[in-house]
Amino acid sequence: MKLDEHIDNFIRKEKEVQVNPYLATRVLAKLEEQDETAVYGKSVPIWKKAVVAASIVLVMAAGYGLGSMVKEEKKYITININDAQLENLNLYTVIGYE
Amino acid sequence: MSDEQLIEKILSGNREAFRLLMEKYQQRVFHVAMGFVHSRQDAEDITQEVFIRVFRSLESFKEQSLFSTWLYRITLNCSINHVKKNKRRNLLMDAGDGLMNLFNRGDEERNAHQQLEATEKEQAIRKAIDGLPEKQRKAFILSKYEELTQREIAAIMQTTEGAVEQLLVRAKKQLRKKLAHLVGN
Repeated sequence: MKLDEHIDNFIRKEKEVQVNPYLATRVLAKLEEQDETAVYGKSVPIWKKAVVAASIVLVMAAGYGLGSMVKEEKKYITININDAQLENLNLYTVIGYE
Repeated sequence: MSDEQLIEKILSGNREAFRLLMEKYQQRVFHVAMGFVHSRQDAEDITQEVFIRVFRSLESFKEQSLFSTWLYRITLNCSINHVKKNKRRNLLMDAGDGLMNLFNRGDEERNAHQQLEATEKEQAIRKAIDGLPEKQRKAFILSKYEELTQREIAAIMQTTEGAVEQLLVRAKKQLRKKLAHLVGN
């Protein structure tokens, strides 16, 4: 057998191998997976993080300030709910009260 | 549907069009990859990588050349990168094959002997193709595995037809030199 025939036979054998019919599906799935990673794994810019942190501090400060203002103006009304100080009902039942 | 129409659809977000494009070209890409790695698994990995790269850089494809020319160019680059990356692993595999052959030599059955001889021949041819200089190897694989014309190969390798002819002549000469021991066996 001539050398060229040996080489041609070898190449023909390799060309007979068929590609996996699901390769296209595999590639599309891989692309989708990469897209998802790109969306979720995207790093947030520093300025956005700073704005969020500043907003939280601002809200907390505003809450504290408002709370302090209300405390200063509050006037308490004493409500007596002590049973001992309620009108004694015995007064109406004692014989010869008047 | 033509390649241009498919590309237009892919660029407007139609993934089904990309599937069609892949199905049209996957066997060709796979053949070229097989020429470089001689393994189904590796050739499929390369094919997958090629199409992912195609999808990601399709916007940069300028229709100055044919889509197939651009695709073959990417396939050659991916295959060469894959071969370089796995050079150490391939060396280990070759050593393993050599050892297997040594152990199998004790087998005196005629069929086994013939089988062994055929395997050795295939290994020698594979090694000889893999041992070609990069440009000769590219031209040889495109010519033999894809049966492309010298003009097509020249367009893919961005060179002249004359240069491709020279590369093919030199590649064949090298193979003959390396595989001289197979003739007459």
